[in-house]
Amino acid sequence: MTPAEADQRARLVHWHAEMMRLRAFEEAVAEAHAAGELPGLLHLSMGGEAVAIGIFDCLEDHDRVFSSHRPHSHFLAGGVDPRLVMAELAGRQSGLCHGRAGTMHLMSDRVVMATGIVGGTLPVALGYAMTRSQPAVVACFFGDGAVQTGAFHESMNLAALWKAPVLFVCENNGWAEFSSRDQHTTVGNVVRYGELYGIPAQEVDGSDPEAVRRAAAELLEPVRAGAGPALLECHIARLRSHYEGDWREQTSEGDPLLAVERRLSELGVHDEEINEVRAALLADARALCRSVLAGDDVPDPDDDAALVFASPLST
Amino acid sequence: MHQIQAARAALADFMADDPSVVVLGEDVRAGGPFSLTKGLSERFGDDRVRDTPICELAFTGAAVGMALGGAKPFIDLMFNDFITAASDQLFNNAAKLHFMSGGRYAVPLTVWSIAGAGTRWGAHHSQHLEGWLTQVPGLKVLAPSSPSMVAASVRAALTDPDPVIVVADRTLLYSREPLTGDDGSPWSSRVVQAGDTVTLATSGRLTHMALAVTAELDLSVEIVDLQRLAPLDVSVILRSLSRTSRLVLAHDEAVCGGLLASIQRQVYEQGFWLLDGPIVTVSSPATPIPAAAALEDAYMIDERDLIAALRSVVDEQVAA
Repeated sequence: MTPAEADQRARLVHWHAEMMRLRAFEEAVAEAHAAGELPGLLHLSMGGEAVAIGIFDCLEDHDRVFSSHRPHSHFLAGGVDPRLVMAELAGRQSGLCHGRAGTMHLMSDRVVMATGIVGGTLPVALGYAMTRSQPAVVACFFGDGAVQTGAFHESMNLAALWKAPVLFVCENNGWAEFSSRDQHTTVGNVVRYGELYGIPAQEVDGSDPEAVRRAAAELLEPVRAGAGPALLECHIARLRSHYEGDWREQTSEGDPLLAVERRLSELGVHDEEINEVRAALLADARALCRSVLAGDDVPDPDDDAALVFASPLST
Repeated sequence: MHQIQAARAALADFMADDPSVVVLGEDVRAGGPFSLTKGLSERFGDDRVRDTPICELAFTGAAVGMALGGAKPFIDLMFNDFITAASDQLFNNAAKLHFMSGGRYAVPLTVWSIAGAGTRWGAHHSQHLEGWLTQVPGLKVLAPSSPSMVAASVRAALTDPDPVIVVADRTLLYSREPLTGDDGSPWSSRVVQAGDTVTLATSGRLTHMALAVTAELDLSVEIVDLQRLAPLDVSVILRSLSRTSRLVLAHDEAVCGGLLASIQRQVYEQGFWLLDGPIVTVSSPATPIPAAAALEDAYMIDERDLIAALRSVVDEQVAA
């Protein structure tokens, strides 16, 4: 094995472990939700792990990220403490947002916000980007369902016009809620909008973290240099139904973990090693969920009124 | 100074003191339709006075993002009616992010918007939508009625860490009329005319109309200029009722739902025993605002409506 191959192998092993960590979190969440222990309208990010890992690998500490309604992997890959995310999902005072947000509206310092309104973070991300100093950038995740909203087109136009330093990352899983993409639009691929708005754009296999990282790194170079936004379309699978508990099994093929595992196998990484790590990560995630549910305090409704405003007025 | 000049001067002074203020909106470099932002781009540069395409949703969302990122955006949303196009970002993000983030983020956003009929401009450039705005916890709404208070509202909104919508009355944009209590706070209602028989609470052009009509009436009317519409505070109305015990509410809105219903609810809950009889409201019919002059004139509240309401509340309640 050449040094370059050894490097690639080590990187892929690390990424794969990270992807398994994100997956294990979602699996533990899905189990607890199915058992009636975790509340909420959950849209899990299973299938998008390679995109989250590949994008964050290109980002610096000063960069900021905006997320979608499938936000858990973005927050975990962005370095947010899984305990804070789990406690938020569980509706506990110890949660990332003290139980006032829930799954679709997570907010943190680095991954600024998720949204329950499809397309709702696109304009916010570009405005936020206008307050950053070079070479800091903003990355904004959204699904292909958001591409049909007015918010997407207004935001592409405005970001291009203002040369906002944003990398728009479309996670195209082929589904928009309960309909396939071709039932929502006559436009083939999202990447085509790049040319229309004069935005550099690429499309990649979103099950390949190396491909995502390479494309994002290429696109980010001019964004960091002040040339304006870029668009990356990542084709991914939706491994779960639209939301947890939905009776329709509208999923698609292409588990990114299996794709990376095939590559790892070629590089001589044995299944036993992987399975051992996977089992440990799943055990950790389940233990985290149990611990939060058993031990963390619920928020006090008496505190809600004072949270409505940063500066409450007398009434 | 008239109200637009007062707003512009307050905004310019604030921008000179605070480099984090950024103005956004359609044609703001050219001054906007009512010359609110005239001269600001020449003085402060194009980076701080940003023209936007006609995309209220995206530029309102962008302003929310700028606020999260440390700027103090001031957006000229032009007409109240255009809030409909911006409403997802106003209602779901600007209003909620402080709460939903558990207090991590604030959204110091100022929205300037004018409202009011009487121009024959029809149902898309004439509405008062304060009733909607007051239904969304997390938004603050100011409705100033004099040039000094317009300036004070702009300063208050830019100083405040929360989203504040300043609703200026279309009819008063070029008015220079001062009101009693112009040196007070825009955050609380004010008594612009003392009286002891009936309280009339209103805002904008109707505050001025109330002053004019009551000067000719043999009734002692206390006029409350509401000023702060959200979050609602009826304490000044209640104090006035403790003297007058009769209440008329007037607002340029359709009679369905609305601001006056919210005020009535609070007054009935907090001040029922101060009242000698039912609250009487003056508003417009539950129709879209018509364009034809004869129809729009009939739609709008006028002097006779105010007088009739004042008379009815006194006559009926005295007779009873």
